[in-house]
Amino acid sequence: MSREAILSRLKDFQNREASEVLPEVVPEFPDFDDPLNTFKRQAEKAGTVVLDGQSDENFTAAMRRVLEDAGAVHLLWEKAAIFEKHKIPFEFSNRSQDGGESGVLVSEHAEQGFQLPVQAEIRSLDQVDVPEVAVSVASAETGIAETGTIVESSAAAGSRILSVLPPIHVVLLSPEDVLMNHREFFQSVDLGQHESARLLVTGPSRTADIEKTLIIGVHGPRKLFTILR
Amino acid sequence: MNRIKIDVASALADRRLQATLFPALQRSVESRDEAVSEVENWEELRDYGRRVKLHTLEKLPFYLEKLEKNVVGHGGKVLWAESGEDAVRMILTIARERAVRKVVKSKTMLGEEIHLNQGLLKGGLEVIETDLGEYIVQLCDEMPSHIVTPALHKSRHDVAELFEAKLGMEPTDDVAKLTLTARNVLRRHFLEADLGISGVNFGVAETGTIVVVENEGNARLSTSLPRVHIALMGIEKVIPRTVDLSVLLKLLTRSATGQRLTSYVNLISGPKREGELDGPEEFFLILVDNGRSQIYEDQFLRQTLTCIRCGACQNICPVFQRLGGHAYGTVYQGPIGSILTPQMFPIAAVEEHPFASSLCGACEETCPVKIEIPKILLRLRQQVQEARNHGIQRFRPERIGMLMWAWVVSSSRRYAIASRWLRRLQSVLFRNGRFRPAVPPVSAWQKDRDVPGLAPKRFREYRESEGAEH
Amino acid sequence: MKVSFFSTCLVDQLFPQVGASAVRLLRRLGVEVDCDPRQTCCGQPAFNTGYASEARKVVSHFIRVYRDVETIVVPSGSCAAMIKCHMLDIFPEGSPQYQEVVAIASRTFELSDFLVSELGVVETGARFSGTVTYHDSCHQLRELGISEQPRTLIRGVEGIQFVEMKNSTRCCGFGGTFSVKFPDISAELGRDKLRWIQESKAEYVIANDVSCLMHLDGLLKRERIPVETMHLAELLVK
Repeated sequence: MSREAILSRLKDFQNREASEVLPEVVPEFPDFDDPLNTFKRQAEKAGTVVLDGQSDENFTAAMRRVLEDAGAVHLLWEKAAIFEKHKIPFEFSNRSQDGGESGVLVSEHAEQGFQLPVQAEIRSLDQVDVPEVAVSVASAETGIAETGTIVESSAAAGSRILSVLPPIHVVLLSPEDVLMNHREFFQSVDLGQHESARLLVTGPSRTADIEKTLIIGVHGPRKLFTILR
Repeated sequence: MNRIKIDVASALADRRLQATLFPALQRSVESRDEAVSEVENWEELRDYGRRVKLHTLEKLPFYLEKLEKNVVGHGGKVLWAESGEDAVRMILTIARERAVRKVVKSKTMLGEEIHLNQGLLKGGLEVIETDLGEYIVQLCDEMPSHIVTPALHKSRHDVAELFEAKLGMEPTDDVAKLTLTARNVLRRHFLEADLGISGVNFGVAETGTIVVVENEGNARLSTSLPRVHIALMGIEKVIPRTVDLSVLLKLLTRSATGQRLTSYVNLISGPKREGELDGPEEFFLILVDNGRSQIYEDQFLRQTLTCIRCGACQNICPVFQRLGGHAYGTVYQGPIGSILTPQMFPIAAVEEHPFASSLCGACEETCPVKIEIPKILLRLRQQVQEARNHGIQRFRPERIGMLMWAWVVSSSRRYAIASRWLRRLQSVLFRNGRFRPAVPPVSAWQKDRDVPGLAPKRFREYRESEGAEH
Repeated sequence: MKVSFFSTCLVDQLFPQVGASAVRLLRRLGVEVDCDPRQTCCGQPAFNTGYASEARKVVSHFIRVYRDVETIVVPSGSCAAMIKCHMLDIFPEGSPQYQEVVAIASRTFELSDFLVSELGVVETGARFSGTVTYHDSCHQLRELGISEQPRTLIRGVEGIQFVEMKNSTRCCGFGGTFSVKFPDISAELGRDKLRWIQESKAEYVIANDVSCLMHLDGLLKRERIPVETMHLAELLVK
């Protein structure tokens, strides 16, 4: 068996006493007086558009901004729980027969005469032709101020691909979920406990593979919005 | 045994390469420097990173078994491959049993190392690279020329010509258009693929999580859309704890691309769970040795295995800045390649590589885990010379020269006598900065440079003749 | 203060005026200088090319010459680094020669470092009216960490114009036997350096290693570029 062969070879070469002990103390990471502000600044540096959506009016305006940018049409919400968690002030105009919710979103906070003119839906992905979706909306588990990073988890009805497949991705982040730095994040996170995949997202998809020229939007979204909610 | 020579002449004669390479690498160095200068305790982070990686190596079997146990705990399967061929065979078996036809790959240097694409193609599978740079390199059937930026050697014109020929694209010089075309072509492949193959930047032993660092989103798609995900990991990539990622990711991304963090960091713990909307049904982790445990044997050289593949040593290396990756003829190129390759293959096959360095030390200075690359090169140079000391090779001119030189300069009397004789010789053969006739190594020197010539009087005699002041 | 001056083989054979300047400089600053006539080479050419036993032979001679000396001063960052950082690697730990090398290494100083860090010199009394730039030789910079000392001394020269060139810390391409094993890359890297020297508008390029200077000077002469090379010691006695 290769397993045994590799391990026994390694054990043969291993020095009996480990001279290099695993360092106990992780070096300092930067702290910030106003982590939320730092988060915004760093996220923007990485190319994320950060919008405030803490009041219902602002949230509606933020969503409108997103949709105008998308010129769009087909909006997919990651899961119904988002509506509850972030107290989304929208309602669907109709429920579809298969139990999913879809239709035109209606917001009582929209400016007069403005309805979010989109087909929106929440349903399992295998019923949806994801490539057709223009905008995806997901909820962030955590934000990390140090680098303006948001963390998405695949846990319970969460999706892996929604964060990269549509050209525009929107992440809703609660300000109280913003952590100071990566040390704080990695010390507190329990990887794999509830989810098969976590994704740290810092800005839109990008490449510099041709002549080191920066291009935004390769396989992932060309635009990343984070709405503080 | 195939000897690999370093092709200096072609690289230096390639005008397009010489025009694009150095400026591109200098931009990388500048971004790295800027990102690093923001971090007050960078040196402390480097020390921490080095210590964690060295510690892990010392207890490598322990951490590998721990990683295995935890990956299995998440419903993943772990396979161990002694060699590249073994790993390729395992992947083919998995693919056949599951009637896989199309494979999407996100960037893996290990995949390059074991010639995975060729193996899968031979096995009748369709293989698509999805990292833009890798895709370009695959389309023209070449090897990556840089660890982080595989198509570094290609100009936008090269890529445009390639896309025109292979994808029927309209001629353009617009990098954004080129990228969009690749996106559209690859999008289809993502949706059709049955198997996704990725590399691994770190494997966290304590949680059974593999970490894949990327910018484009292709790794996320390759590891999520197909029904099977296979992660290929060198055995040296395991790390003990989740918290170590905080430091190692910071070291990696700032060194590699000067980013505070890359756009995406994937933390994958097994296949799709119950209640999750998507993700692969099966997850395999293949732990590949392929010569690594041999490197492990020597406690000094072992540090080679702490490399986190950031490519910073390539960016800053003056020799790499002129040659580019392809001239080396190996998968890993530049400073890291010149210490890694000779330890993974019979050293005689790549005996030029440890010498392709001026030993300037810029690589060690920039290395985020402080690998003593120049010292390792020196050790490997000794191994090369020792390996040559057989048969007729023992009488190679360089060695005879060194033996004579050492014999002369290890005695002050012989040194003084030789000094006198060389001056006599010089008075006959030396004119205007050149020796005629010239023999190596003088001929190599004076091709582009004047030879200073021995001073008429040595330092000792010179001082004596200056008289009074001393 | 008394020091033993190790001229290095290149200075002895090719650039004796550099050694003479260094000795004159040290004496001018009140240092008693001795030059052991038995000295030859530090063994670096063999060591860097992978000929360990040949290097050992040469270093053994070096140890015989310098084992009883209080302080050794070397006008070369590269040779000083060989003594201080690499000689240890060619003897087994704990061997008598290893112990001797440890002692010798701790008593060895590169010239500019000796002047600034040990003697506290800032001005050497030199006067020079010309525009100079400084090339950081690799081993001095990265193995010995010497960067400010030579610059301090250059700035202390009366009447001098000191300009930094772009990429002063990038290797000039010499690299010992690298320069003849890969002559084309070596020369290419040297020409990069010449470009930055010329862009700096300096008339002289200063360094603490005659090896780098020999390489650059060979290229300058071949390309007929009117820039002169000068060892720091030569500048400081002007």
